Amino acid sequence: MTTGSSFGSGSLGCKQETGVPDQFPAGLRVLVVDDDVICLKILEQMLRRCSYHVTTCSQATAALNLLRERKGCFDVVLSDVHMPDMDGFKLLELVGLEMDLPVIMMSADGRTNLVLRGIRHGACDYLIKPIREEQLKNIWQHVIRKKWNENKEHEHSGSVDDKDRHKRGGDDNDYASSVNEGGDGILTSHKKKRHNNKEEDDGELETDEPGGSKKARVVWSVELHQQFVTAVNQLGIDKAVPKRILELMNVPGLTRENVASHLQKFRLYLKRLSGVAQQGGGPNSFCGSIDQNPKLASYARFEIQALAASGQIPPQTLVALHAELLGQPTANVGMPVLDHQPLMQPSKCGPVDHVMSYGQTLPSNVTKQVPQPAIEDVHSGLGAWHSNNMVGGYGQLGGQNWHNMLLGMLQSQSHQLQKQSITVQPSRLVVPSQSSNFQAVNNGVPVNQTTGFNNSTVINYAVGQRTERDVENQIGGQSSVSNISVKEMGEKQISFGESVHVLDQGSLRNLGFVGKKSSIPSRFAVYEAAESLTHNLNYGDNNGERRVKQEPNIEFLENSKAGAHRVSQNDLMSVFSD
Amino acid sequence: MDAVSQLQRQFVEHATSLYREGYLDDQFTQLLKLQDESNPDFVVEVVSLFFEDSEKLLNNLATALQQESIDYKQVDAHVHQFKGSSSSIGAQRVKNVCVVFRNYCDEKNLDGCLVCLEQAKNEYLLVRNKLEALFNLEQQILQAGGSVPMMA
Repeated sequence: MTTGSSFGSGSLGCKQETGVPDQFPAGLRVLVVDDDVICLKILEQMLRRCSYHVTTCSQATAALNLLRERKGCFDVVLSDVHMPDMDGFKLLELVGLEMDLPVIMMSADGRTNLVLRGIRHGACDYLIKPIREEQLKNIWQHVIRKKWNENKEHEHSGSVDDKDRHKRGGDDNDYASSVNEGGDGILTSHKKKRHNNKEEDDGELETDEPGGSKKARVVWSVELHQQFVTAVNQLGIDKAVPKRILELMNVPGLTRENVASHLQKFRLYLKRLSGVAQQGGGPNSFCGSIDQNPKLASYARFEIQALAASGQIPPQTLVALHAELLGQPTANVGMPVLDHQPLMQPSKCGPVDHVMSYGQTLPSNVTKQVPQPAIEDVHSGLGAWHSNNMVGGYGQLGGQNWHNMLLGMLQSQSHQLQKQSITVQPSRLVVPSQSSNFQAVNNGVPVNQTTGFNNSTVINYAVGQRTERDVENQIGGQSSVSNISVKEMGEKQISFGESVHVLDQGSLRNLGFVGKKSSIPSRFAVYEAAESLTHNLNYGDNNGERRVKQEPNIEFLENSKAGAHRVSQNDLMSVFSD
Repeated sequence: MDAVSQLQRQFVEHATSLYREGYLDDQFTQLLKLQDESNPDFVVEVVSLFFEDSEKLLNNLATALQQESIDYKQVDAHVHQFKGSSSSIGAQRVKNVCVVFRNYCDEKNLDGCLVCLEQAKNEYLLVRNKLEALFNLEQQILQAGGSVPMMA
């Protein structure tokens, strides 16, 4: 057992290449990799007692060879983090990429940063040693989840029109179909399943592949994100591990990997928020993004004005937004468009930073601690943000996000803003709603939902927790929020003006959007006018991801690879891109 | 069978004291539970592995800390390993020393490390002796035809 590869009790032959073993979970084929022979022996015994087929390896390289030679012979891999011949995280990545198997990490070291790393690298779970038998009993769920998720993706793959059109491998693909679905819609992602790796975002061109690839992307709709945030909130941001979050969320078809990657982004987002809040940061990046889209910029201006007029947006945020929208390098922009000068206080760089950071990957600002209050704000902001716009793409960093946020804010904020402590959180526009529990808003971007804003665009902001339960679309008194179905637009564009349908979960609520019928009509007008613009709003595909595309046209959607999906994801995700 | 009952009593007392004094923790109990007919010597095997591994680690640690230019990362890796294995079998006191040991490694505090190394060695020897005594009693009980009391 302790030598390179020991074929434990499990049969060497592969039972099945596909699908789940017959008497699931009994017979689950587990490969355990750990250089500590004692742990290996103990784990083997524990797993045997769970009726699993166990194969042990004390060397990562041997394990990898084994997996390669016998593809389809294992269902799940358990690996230690610290190994002499290969870093456990590296093994994790490789296994995920090459064999697409669920990998569970283990370590005696349970520090948060390591756990986070595990999540980032795609671990399904992270167990802290000493491991108990009970913990191992449950590992089969990861296998099932993954398979279901893949199946689901395959099903959907055929249905989406523009599957083929992914511009970028981005995860976000589409949104789509689920527009009107409730929470489930979120999971329809026809494309590949998102791997935690960023690489996917960056480079792959996902060309449909309906059945081909197993990586479907999960669309983090507002509701889904909300559920996520709720779960994280319940667990506590530091203790929230993907497995538990997944359990709490209880969303069929959602995999731990999905949650893990979402969580990763979320955490980054949070860090960014806290980090950005403290730093002046340079707004530049955001600003740049908007340049390309004059329409957006002008549209945004309207929004800003509207927002400003409503007095709901904190000056800093507005500034940031504005700067962002206008592509101004600093937050100090004078905001020419704004009539309400006072609202836009140029002095703060903070917001701008936030803006930027939101859309972007947070590099160094990220601090480990995300202050709770900040999170809350953020969340709320996100919530609004998210639900508001699903703008097709949150274009280049920030720009679109801001746009979305603005829209969202306009909608919801009218009343809510005032109540919140508006701290300009980087990307989250303060959300009026009192979503104090936001917590994990960051992650996911539920983006896919577009709230119908006056029948037009709905910007989905990543929705954190929505505290307000009545989701009423304030927009123009509409009560329905349309989910932007990116796919409708063909290129992942968020179709604004799509049939609006209410966000049931009150995602809007959190955003503060809805529920207030008293939204300001005038604002809506703005939106209406801008509606056409919004169609093209492509909020970048990645909000902050590396790929910010600077495309001159206004077709934001094009820019954003992911279309609606991207939007939300980008927004939030960008934060997370690591 | 007086002899057996006596042995059994001794066994229980010994085992209980090990827990009470913190030499062993619940993880050891887990190990006991893992032993079954298909693997009747499981505990002894695991514990023997632990002894071997520990001695190797302790030697490596001593060597590493004697270097002129100490590689604390390496020291930390050994301690981490020791911590993992000791916690896996439930050798609580050893594990606790490892925790402190790691902190000293982080601080690159040589004196602290040396002290911890000594402590780790001592704790290891203690728990080894006690476990050996426990297994001995177990053997005696079995040889006398009795059954080994289950530990809670």
